Amino acid sequence: MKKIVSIILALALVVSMATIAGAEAKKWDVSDIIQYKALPSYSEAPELALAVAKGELPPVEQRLPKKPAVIMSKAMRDGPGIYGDVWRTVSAVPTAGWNWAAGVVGGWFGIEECMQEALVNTGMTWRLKESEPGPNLATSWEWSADGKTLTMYLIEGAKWSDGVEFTADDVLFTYYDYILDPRVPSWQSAGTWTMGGKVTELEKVDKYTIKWHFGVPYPVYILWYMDYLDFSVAPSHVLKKFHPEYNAAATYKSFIDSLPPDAIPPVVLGCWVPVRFEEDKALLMKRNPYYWKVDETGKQLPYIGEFFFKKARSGIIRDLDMIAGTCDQTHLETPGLFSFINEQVRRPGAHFRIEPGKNTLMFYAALNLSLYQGVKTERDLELRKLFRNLDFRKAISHATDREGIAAALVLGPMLKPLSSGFTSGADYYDANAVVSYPYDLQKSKALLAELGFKDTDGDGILNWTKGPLKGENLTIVAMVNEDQTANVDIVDALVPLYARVGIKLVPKVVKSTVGQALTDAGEFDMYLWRGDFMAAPYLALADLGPITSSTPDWHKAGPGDKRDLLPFEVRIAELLKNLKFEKSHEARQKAFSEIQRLWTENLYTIGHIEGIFNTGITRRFNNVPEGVPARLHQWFHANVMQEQVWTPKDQQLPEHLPGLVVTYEK
Amino acid sequence: MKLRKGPNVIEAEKGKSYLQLVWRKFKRSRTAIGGGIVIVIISILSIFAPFFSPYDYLDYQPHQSFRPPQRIHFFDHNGKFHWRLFVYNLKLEMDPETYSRIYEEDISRRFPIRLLVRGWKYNLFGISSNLHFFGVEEGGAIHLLGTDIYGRDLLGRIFLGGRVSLSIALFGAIVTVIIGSIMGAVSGYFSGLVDMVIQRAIEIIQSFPQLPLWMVLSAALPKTWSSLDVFIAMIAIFSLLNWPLLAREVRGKVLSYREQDFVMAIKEMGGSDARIIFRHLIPNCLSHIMVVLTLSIPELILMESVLSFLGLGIQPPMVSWGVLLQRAQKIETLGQHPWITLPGFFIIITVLGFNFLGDGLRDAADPYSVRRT
Amino acid sequence: MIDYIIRRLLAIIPVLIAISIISFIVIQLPPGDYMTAVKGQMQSLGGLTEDEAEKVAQELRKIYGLDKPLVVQYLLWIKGIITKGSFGFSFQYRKDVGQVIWVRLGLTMLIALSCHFVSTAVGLLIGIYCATRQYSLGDNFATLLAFAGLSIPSFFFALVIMYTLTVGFGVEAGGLFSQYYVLAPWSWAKFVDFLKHFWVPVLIVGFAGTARNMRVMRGNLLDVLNSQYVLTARSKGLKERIVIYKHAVVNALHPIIMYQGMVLPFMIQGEIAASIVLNLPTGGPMFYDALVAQDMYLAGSFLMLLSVVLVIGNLAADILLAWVDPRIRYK
Repeated sequence: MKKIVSIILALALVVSMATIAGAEAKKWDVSDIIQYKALPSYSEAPELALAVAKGELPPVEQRLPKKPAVIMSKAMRDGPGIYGDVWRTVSAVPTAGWNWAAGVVGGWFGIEECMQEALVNTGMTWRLKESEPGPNLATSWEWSADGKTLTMYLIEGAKWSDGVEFTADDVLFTYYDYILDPRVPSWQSAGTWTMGGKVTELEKVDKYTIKWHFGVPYPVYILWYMDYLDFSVAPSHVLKKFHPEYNAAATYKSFIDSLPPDAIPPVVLGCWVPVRFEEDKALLMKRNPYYWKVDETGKQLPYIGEFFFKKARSGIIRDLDMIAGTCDQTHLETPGLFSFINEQVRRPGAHFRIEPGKNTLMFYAALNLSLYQGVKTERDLELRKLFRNLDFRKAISHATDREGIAAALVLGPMLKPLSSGFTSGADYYDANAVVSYPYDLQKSKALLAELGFKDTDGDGILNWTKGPLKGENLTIVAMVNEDQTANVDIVDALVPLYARVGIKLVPKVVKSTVGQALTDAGEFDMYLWRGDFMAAPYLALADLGPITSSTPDWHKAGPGDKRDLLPFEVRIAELLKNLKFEKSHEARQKAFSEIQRLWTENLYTIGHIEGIFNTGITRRFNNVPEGVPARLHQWFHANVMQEQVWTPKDQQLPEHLPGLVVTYEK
Repeated sequence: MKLRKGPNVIEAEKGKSYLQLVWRKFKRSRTAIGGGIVIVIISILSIFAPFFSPYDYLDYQPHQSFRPPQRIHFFDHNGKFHWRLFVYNLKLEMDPETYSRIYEEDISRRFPIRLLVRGWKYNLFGISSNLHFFGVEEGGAIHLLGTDIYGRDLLGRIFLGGRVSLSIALFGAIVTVIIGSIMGAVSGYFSGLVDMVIQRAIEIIQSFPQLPLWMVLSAALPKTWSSLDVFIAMIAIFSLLNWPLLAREVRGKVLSYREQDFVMAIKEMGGSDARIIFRHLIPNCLSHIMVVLTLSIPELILMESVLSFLGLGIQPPMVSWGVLLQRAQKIETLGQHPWITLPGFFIIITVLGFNFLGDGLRDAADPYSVRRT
Repeated sequence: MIDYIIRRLLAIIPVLIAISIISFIVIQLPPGDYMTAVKGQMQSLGGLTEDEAEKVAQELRKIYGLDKPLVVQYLLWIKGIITKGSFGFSFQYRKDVGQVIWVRLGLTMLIALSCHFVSTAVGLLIGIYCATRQYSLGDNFATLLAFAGLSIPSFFFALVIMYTLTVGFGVEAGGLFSQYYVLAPWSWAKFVDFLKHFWVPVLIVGFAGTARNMRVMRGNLLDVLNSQYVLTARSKGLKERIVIYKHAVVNALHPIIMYQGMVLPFMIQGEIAASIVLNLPTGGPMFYDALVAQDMYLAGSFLMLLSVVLVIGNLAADILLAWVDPRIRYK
């Protein structure tokens, strides 16, 4: 029976591989996607034109910068578009306010991407041949000869949504009064910008030119910290007056909360401006009349006039709404749902389609390797020592039936076994560098016997035969975050699998806050996690190895910074540190290949399965780039470049507040 | 045959005759008997779960994932009749576009259902055995209610889950009712300070939402606590949080009974307060207590499933109907493998059973209720 | 009677204090606090590294006083309530807790009360019908339906309805308004749209309540119908309807009246799971989210609010009971 099933599955695999494998994205140069130049004429959305005619807005030529950012048609999948339509989606996090640079949450799920603009753009990186950050507010930059100075040229004449000019003052304000100010909980801190013992200086050369002065030559990784969210620029003309640095009567608390959600509309540089907000019900945004990008025909972007966020309490609403046709996009990140969504998308009258992504979904387990952090009992210590033994990790890997688990979750090619390390769709993936320890019960049992375990009391579970735990059962507690349903399913399979080799696995499903707290404290034996952040390893260097005292999660340093690194960890840390300054892609590839080999050979983490991360998106939308990843360097909203998305006239949906133009009180 | 006695005398004199009357009355209600039978059947199935399960419900069979319930046949595909019921095996195929599972009957071979077969080994009350109520021979598989994500027989898991669900509900309800009726009666009878104190206690407990308590419990439990410890803790907390509801209602009744003549009479005769409470007031509320008991059991079964939904109740690998239903909530379940929701059906018939049973008991406990023609 | 009421009202205060302490402790017991949730969000949604996220979390703790010892935090909270009437700060919504709850209060009350009235009215009527026609077909059928109502978990019911509406009919399910009416000003059309969504939670949450009321009423009424004074009333030759309504039902109502006091928080809690599935902007889901995210002032204040409602409800129930049944005397 099993044989027949295997043959069928293998055949089906081959057949489907052909269809799935075609999701290779086309790569472009920067100039194919975006250029900064003046165009002979410009046009605007009808409601804006009406406002201009009434004298409420200056003409479009005056609203745009001298050389606006032009989204080139060459890299547009469906070419330049027309105005209209509304993009509807669901946000499941409360909106806390508009002072985003101070760590105030706007509601995620695309809300931030609609409002914020940063110096560089890493949303287009996945499409670039060079896989480097692309230009945004910084139109170009150049390194000095000694690599210690980076000169950046900002876009000239771009305006905030209230008509005030964007200048280098805003950048300096964001850098010095948010990022470097330790009392402002910004999305990064001075630590990132301190190199060679020196805090990076930012110099204003003129209104549109800035210079970075670094303490070490060519810290190329720092460009990745000037992108969306890390360095989303804050409007200094709005916020300076709330900052304690400029206003003696202000406190940091009042500063952080100075723009509550009802302070609407906030001043933004992004495509859309929030205009209506009802707590826990909905958030509505309208196009920014001063947006500084156009298409090649001179049309001011964005094409889509409205962005509607329904507020929900859980992510499943987004999936349900997409099936019902009232939500226009969602990530398909729950493997259990895959075949169901596939069925739904094929029903006649289905409103959505599936944009295939890459193999970047990743489910893995990590054994706690720290001898000092979170060690509270003798049992903890003995287990950690055991986990640090490679033979034990091999035994665990040999006991895991990855194919079986993948097949149980979703038949077909959407899920594959993952031995360890990065997924096959990740940047710098090198299949040759992967060492695997596949499902082999005999090997696993043999290794455990070699380690000295025997079932001395006949209950089917191995017992310790030496040390302080002698005679006790070999029990491991696996912590799982209850939101990650795939991991809950996976751990359900691991219990009988480990039992076959005599290990008792006790799953502990916890709420995300509790899980986070326990992980922070290092109080866990083993945890299961979803790791799509590892798809762009260059952005997460600090999380991949013992770079700081609290990373990686599964080997934190204990009190007093005590940590005993395993020999391969030392080498990984060394490679990661060097990568920060590595400009050449070949050198980076070489380094990552070695990291992968060390990682998989030594089972730094125990991989379970990897999967294709697809996006469900409405059929109406054009210009959704082929193969756009749900998450790579950024989430979908930044990767798709929303300003270029448009809908044919006959399929456009009516706006909620047609004709409304964003205006600010004087 | 006993002469009819006046109700007051009956109440004051509880003896064998009363029980005989109760039993006679109970026998007459068909629904109550039916309910009782259902309960007994489900209890037996749960207690002897391994015997009735053809497969090890903890085993892992990923290639048998999500098999639909198999049909039992009398007639084979040629139309020929067979005395022995049989099943066909299921072949797995995959829809190449949606990757959905498609199972089809493999009509090439019949697998007759056999009784008392040898199968997987189990241990029941210290006795090892591998005897099972029914099964099929090697090469075939019989999953009457289908399988779950890892190919585990759902029928067996439902029986297994019944053990936990039924015992939690039963113990919880009993403890709740005992504490609730005593507290309610005491509170109503004595009034004054005792009443005030118990009332306040009721209010504090009632206004203490169960949700945070449960979250604390699941987070704060030591890692090494076994599922059994969690189970006992859940029973304790159920009872502690639910007795006030009954207490208030008993108190209400006691308040109105307290002023009645028979109570005064007993006091005059020198009866103690305890005697009045336990032998007269509480039994007078018996029918109401019965209603609440039978309402509590299904309530507790449902409560357990709600908590599992919020991730707060019984945790895997321990299995209860609530845990099984938790897996049933995903939208793909209803769309692709709806048989996963069958534990809900068992919840419903168990609940119905208890309610009919309780109904009959309530009617029987008041043997002089006159049936209106 | 009056000083009974005053005594009861005064007794509320120690209850509230006990509740505030218990709820504050209980909410804080799980490891972590709200900033832990923020840290997790920053890493998963914001893409920050562990270290960066931890630094931000620590900063926020200092700013919002979460780094102070528990006792200090509790006392500051109580002080705020007593002196300023401020119930603390909600971290999720970045505003005063009072405002957060107030916005949702109306809707929560509306749903809870509607469900309550529907389930009480319908349940009582059916219960009376069943008791007077015991063992008839109607009785058995209604009993069956009642048990169905008691047997189906409300969240499951909600999921099935949502699924049917969404996948079966292609209708946007959940919430209280369709997309285009959410932000629109009130109008007749909006009200109709509201009703079109409103029936779902009322049905789901009310169903179980109806069943329970029906069962209890039926049981009580049967008790009463077989008691002495009813026998007397019948033998007096009174019309059956008067016997039932004027004598039997009134007395059978006692436990139900006692129960009224606890209904509201019961309803609110009972609808939590269903409201989460249905995506309703009411107090239940807000409370659950606050607990999960450890938005402690919000959760704690909401608990206290529920307690106040409960205590006042009980008081009202007791007064009602005394008024209805002259046999009850208070020492």
